[in-house]
Amino acid sequence: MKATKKILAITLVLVMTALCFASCGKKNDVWKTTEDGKVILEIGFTGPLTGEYANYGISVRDGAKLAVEEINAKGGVNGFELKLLEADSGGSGEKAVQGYGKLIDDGMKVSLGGTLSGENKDIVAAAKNDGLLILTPSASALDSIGEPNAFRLCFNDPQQGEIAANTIKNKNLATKVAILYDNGNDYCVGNVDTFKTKAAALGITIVTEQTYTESTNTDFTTQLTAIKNSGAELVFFPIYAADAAKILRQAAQMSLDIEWFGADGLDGLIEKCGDNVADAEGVLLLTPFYADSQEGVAKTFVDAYKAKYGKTPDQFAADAYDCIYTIVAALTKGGLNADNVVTMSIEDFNAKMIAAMTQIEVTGATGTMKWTADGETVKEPMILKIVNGKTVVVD
Amino acid sequence: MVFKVTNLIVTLIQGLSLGSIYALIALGYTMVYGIAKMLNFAHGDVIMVGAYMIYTTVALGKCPSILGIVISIIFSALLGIIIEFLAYKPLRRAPSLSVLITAIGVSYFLQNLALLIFKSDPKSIPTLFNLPPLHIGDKITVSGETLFTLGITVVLMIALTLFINKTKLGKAMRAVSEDKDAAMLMGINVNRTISITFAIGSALAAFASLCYGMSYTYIKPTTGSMPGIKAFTAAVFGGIGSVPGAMLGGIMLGVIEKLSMAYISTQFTDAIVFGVLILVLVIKPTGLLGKKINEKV
Repeated sequence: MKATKKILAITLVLVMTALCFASCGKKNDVWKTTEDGKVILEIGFTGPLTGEYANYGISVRDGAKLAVEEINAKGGVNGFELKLLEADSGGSGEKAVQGYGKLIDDGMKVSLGGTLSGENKDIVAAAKNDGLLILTPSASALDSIGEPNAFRLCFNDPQQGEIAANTIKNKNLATKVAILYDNGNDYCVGNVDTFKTKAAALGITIVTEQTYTESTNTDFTTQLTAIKNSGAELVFFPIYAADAAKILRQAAQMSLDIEWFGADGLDGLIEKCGDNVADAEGVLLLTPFYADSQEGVAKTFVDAYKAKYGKTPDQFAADAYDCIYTIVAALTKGGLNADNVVTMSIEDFNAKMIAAMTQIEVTGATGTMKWTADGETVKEPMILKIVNGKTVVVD
Repeated sequence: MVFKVTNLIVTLIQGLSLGSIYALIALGYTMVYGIAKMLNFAHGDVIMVGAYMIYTTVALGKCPSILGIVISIIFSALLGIIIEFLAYKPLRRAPSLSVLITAIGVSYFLQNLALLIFKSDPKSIPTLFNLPPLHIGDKITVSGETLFTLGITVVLMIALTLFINKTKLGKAMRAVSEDKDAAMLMGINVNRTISITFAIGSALAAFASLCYGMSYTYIKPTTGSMPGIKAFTAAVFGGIGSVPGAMLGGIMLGVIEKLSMAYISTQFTDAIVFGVLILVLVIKPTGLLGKKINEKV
């Protein structure tokens, strides 16, 4: 009697332990299927859907969602149906990592990383052991990628500063330049650092460097007075559109007449200026995306986005849209389809996706792109000028 | 940087204008403190509400500017009375720490309410009046908004001083701030006087939000917190409880802030401003114009 009880107990323990391991091992590399037999490819978005930076996260999510729906409406790709999973980060790296973890548990196969540079940096660090492809649409700080599985679709900050200095030189825009930026922000500092180095090499004089921080971003009159008195012909301000709108308003109130030159952070400036759009007249900006484009993928994307959400997309949305098509291109290049992924390990799938990233060339809403093994994108930015409240391409 | 007189003049005018906004807000702090002996930390957020009211009426409701401003001022005054009635009146006899915590709670409540209604992205206040900038010589340009702020502050301060010193209600306010119980015995309705003080303070905050909105255009739910803290500093600087002290403190704070931004560093401005505050309080603990109060034993 005692012996049978013991045997029974031991068997139970063994069976239960085995069951436990079985379910653990299966968790991540199970490919779920839809009712009509397609394999689901989960793509995970993490970004701020609430809080101060919510507008960026919402743009990214909406852009990605649009691309996913377009692809699924055409019957998916290679037997896959795409599914966009989302996690709100509220703009904090810590919550972004939690969100990433939740998405991994939900079966995420490819990650769109973080929306903000800080978030992405934390996610890339946390994802080191998972090894899945991370393609961030918008994290531009140099150190926000840096693992072999991490790529970005936007430019990195130093690239932009260098291109800006070259443009100012080549187009003879100015020889005396003022810089105005938020020196507590990685994006701005990264831009300005390379801009200064490049400008010095090209013989552009920087007559004054004015800074502000997040806590002093209301009153810019002191900085603008200094710029006015410095004799600068142009202000390089690689900052975000919300601050730029405030600066341009105060410059207009002071009747400061000067050229303004910014980077892709100024995207959305016209909308941010609202009724004061005249303030932004003549502002030059470097950006790979142009919402008023009349041709190519950009136009198709903008039209579809407007029809779905009733507003003009910004660059964040365009970047996210392109990310989805890039993932699709990588799937195809890697020879991955619904039949063969179910037989291979998730490690093989990840390796094939990452290997494909450096071999593809994608033409999207933000131009024609390729990727280096460092995860950086190679594409040509456009120079845009704001004329009559609209952006036009400057040759 | 080469020292230029024109530069100094421009900086001083900008400082006066910024200081005027601080002074308008500081008046609200100081009057409420003087009469109710409490720090109304929700006061900064009343500015934010006032600014959103202007935005709602003029930008969304397409009201004429003047009407929008009047609605905003009345709404802010009512808000002041409601806040006092709901949040502070029940705590009239409570320890001052409880009232302070309640005030912070009201402040967060207002901010989050605005976040819920208007979302986090900044909204722009439309151009209310077309004010041309003033040119003095070719070097000095003063924006119309700056002059407007200076003008409106001077008018309001004269009006407030006359009100407090010459009217019966002003006399009642002074009496209540001096000795609440004695004032009650003299037949002054203390509760009503406190409500009126809140209303006046909040209406002044609405004027501050008007000037703020015109000068800086973009508002968001946290717009009120920094000017609120600076103005509170100004009130302490000038001597909390003293009306002329709040005016002086606000204007001096604005001028010091602007001068240190222009001539020392844009990074250390706040450190310098608060450093000066500490210095003043060390030398004169009651603030510049604060009265020394002898505790009755």
